[in-house]
Amino acid sequence: MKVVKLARSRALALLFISFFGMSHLIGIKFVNAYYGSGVFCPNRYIPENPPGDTYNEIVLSTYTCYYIAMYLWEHYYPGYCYFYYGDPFDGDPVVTASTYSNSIMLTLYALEQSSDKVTVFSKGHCTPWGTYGVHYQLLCTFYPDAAKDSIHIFPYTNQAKCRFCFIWHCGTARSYPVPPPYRDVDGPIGLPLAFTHNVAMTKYGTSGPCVYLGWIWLSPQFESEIPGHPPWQYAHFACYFFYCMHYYGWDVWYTLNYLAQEIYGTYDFESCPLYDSLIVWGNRYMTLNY
Amino acid sequence: MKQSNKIIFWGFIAILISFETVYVVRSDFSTANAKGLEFISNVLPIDLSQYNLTLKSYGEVKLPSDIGVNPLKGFKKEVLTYTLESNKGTLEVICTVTNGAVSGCFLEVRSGSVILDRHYSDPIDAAEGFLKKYQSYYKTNLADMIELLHKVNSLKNVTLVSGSLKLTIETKRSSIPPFGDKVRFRWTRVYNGCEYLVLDIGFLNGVLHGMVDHRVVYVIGDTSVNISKEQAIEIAMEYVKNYSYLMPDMTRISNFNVSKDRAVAELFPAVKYANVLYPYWSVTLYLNETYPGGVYALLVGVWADNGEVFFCNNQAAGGLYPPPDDNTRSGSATTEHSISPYMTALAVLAAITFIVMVVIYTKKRGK
Repeated sequence: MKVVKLARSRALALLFISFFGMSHLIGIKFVNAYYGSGVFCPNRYIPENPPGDTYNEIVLSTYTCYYIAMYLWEHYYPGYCYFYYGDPFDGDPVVTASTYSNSIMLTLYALEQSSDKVTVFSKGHCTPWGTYGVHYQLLCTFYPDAAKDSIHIFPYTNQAKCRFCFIWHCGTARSYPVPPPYRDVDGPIGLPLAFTHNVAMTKYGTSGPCVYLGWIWLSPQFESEIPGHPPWQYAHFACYFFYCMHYYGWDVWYTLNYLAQEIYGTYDFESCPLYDSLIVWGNRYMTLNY
Repeated sequence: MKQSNKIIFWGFIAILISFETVYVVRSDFSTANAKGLEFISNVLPIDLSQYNLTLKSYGEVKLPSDIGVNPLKGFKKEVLTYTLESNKGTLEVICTVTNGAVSGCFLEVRSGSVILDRHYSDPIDAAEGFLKKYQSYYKTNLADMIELLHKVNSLKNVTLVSGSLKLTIETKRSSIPPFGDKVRFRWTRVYNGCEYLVLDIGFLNGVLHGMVDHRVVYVIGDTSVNISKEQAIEIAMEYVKNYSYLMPDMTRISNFNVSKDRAVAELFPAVKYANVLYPYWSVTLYLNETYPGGVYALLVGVWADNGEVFFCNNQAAGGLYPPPDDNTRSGSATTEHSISPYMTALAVLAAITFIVMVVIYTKKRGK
């Protein structure tokens, strides 16, 4: 497992360097509140037990998540930015269940402790679990462990500061909205609730303090090309999403509309094939400076 | 060269580059901004005299070059976000300038209402108004598109064809406030069964909501389709016999059990070189089992003119498949002036930081 926590001294140097790189941009706004961010890329390495990720997927998703982490770090500087990824290539141990679960819960807890607001991006796999199969777990690098919604996430986000979450795993938009009492025998239900602690988010909503993006069924792998639109891959979609939100200060809805125009050639997101697959729960008008 | 001299030398080079970058950016920005302003004032159906227009942000899109094949290679994308304020409400307009021409825009009513340039009786009238202003702005002939629009009797979901031109209208009513009534007009050129996007515009509650224009971005090349759908599937089936991909333990996955019965081939245009579009068959070969990596299908691109395979790609997902019966899938006064100090400040900041670094370094060397 690799953890990148960008140290402040190094961050300062990078910030200086980034000014040169950002000189093609005008109108950048910097944030005032203290924001933290966490980017998780639990690449899967399970050669004997598919579906583990392909080599190309691991490389591509790690790179893409790295860029997303950089955008968030740059946007929220000097807030903490954690970046986790499983790395089976360079001799490091792969992410075990306990390390990932422990890491994610400690990270979320630490971010909530040290920040006013927290932004989370996670890319990987997800499966249902629990007595009624309505709970969801983010799979770790190493089977069969996973970060379970009610056990490994919900208790560590109890300050409700995770207000901008994009969970790029399968089915992560499901089990929401949750009817009272919001739990069953296995605890609080579903990942939208587990991350945000918000029970009042509406689908493609326009108000509220939180936004949560997830997939209703399949979350496409980053290496997959977007059918009918080569050479766009879903990695580009994810990267472009945070690029626009960071550099242009757009809200979620502008960004999705723009990506629909650029990639799919439809004038808005509602006309694009991803609508109703990539679900936005909560306030779609939220920018990264929420 | 001494170490300190080297630092000073490269420092000056950095400062010079930064100043040069500032001027290049300003020049690019001015051109793009002029295009954006022209578009807003000449094409958008708003009474611009009632609005105070401000540029909110400008940027040239630069996606990381090491994430797959850069889809923006060869395209210069500049994005401008404007705020338009009046006593009736606030609008935001995003303009995308591709290779020097406005290729897309998105208009969002942030508050209040829109002051239109004139009364439009319905979205069809509004669409015609847009086209007329648009052809005047681009000095192009959109008569056939307008003519096709005239054939629409009432506002409903409909597809009309005239020669190679196809117009699709989609209407969507919503009681949810921000969604409202939506009408979408999409013009495409159909050559040999392949649809090339011309213009896609949409209206929300009667007001222009967005548009995408591919005419100004792409050129349609040879539209020949010499390969049939069946041939394309055969070519793809043959190709994947030799296709393999790598897993992290360096094993190669190959010999795919492909379900030919479920193979799907669709014609789409794609860039073959520069900005020239050619038709290709997008062949999805579903696999009879999920292969390592969650790969459930292979996507093969076959040029429709010569049958050449130009890509083969894994279609994979994370493990939660929908049940078969699931139907859910289914006048800017501030702009120019506000930029100069900002960009200059960046260059000055760079210079000052460099000088401080040199001083610290020199002092340390002196000790």
